[in-house]
Amino acid sequence: MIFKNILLLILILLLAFFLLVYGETGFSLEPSIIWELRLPKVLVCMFAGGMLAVAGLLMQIFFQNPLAGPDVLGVSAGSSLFVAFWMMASVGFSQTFLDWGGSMMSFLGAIFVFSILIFFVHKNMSRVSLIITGLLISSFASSGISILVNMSQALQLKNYLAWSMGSFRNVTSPDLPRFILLSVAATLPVLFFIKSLNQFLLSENYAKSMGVHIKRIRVIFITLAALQISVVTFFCGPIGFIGIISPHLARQFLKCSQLKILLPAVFCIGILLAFVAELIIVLNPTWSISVNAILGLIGAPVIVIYLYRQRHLSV
Amino acid sequence: MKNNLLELQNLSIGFNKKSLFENINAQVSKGMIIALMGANGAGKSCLLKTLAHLIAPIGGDIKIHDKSINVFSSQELARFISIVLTEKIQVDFLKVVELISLGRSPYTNWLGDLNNSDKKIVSQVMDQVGVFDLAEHFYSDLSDGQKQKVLIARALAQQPEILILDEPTTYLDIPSKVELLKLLQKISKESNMAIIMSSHDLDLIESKVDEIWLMGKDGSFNIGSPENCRSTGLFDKHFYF
Repeated sequence: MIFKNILLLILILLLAFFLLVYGETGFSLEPSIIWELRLPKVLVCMFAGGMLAVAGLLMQIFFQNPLAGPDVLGVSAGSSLFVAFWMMASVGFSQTFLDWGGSMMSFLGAIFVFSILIFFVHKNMSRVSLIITGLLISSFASSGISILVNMSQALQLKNYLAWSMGSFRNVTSPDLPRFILLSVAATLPVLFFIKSLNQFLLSENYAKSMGVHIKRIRVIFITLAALQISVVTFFCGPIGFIGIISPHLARQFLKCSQLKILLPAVFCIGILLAFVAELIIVLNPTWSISVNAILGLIGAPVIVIYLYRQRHLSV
Repeated sequence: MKNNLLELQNLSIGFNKKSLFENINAQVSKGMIIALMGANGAGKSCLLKTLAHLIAPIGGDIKIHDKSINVFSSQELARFISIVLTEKIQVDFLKVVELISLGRSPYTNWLGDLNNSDKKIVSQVMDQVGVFDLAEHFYSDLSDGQKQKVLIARALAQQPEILILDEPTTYLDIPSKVELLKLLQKISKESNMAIIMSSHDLDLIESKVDEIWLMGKDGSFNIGSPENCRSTGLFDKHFYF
């Protein structure tokens, strides 16, 4: 199984290398293009893809729900709504203020949706109902966003529309250090909770009976997942499907649920999905396809196949 | 002489601060097998979860070795009490040996790595429960009876002094029920462990348990040996009309 993880790593390195030397303009080794355009793109793909995948895994374990994910449960959408509100409302402030405020709002949006979801879980809402609630939160947020868009002026609108398409190319090289710093801060701590995550695999009650401090761990999981989702949403816009399908693909590929082995694989598969989407865009420069369109084409069938296989189980 | 593992003093139990059953007084000592009986909704699961510290008591106290349960950390409690719950575990690609190894987690380091003595304990409990051959199987592929045994093995891997089981025989066929009860008898004898389980199978468990706790519909908490319960008409009063 370690071998399979190494295989994933090699694939990532190959694709990363290819995306560095090949772009819409074809092969080129011009340093300025590589450093200014392609390297930021590749790094953003790696952190954003990996983080979304890990956030999906955390949510699936936390909610004991194989269909949970940042997009399905409405966390991405909630985060987007808060960012959209910020973009429209904060005209005229300095750029630094805009950036940090936006990151903060993005995080608050994610936490807000998580709080709603946890409230419902505590009232014993079923797993299926929770998913439907998440989808409803999503459409509620979209409605809110479209109203904000209608109310806003042309300049903000342009900014907003570019962002709302979702892309790994929105991060410019001056922003890159901040993006990477936040990403590492959101992802690295997960490693310290591998044991608790394993205990959570059985159920929250079993985890508690094995000595997990539930209240503390709940806060930690949710904060980390919200941080991961909000960093991606703020910098790249709402990106779908990576979070929900990466854990399934990783488990299916490794035939393993042990977090020590699964977690790196989930992170790697998230990166690979981001790379594949970016690769398709790069190979078809004339079509200008969006990342989310490609991820939807990959993601939806994967979920349907998963549901078909699990049809004999009650969700 | 006081050698009570567990003592319930005027315990009131319930969910969300709403009391479900009040004034429970009982003691548990080493090697005892106790069957908890009562109608559906009487509060059996609630009592078991309260004993395992999954739910906080509404009132009264639970004493472990004459100390209040509140002075123990959750990790200390995990080494003292372990539980097999009714909730179904839905996890793909988790091997039986991995699931049972989780039972060692109250003893392992921050990564959950097993040392040699942990590994030895895991194989011991697999042997004891009779799931050694299933070690490399995925939990999700097992039958209900096998799953129940694996969960018991996981609970035993915690090396508790008290093992709690919530309706362990419910989804099983009659031969598996008998097998499971014999297994529990063996465990209690071999490890001198106290076992508390809830059950509806009066006829099956009667000959295998030392004590019956009966949560009556009238709110009374009755304790007695199986013979005693029969002769005093307790069963008739609470199970037949």
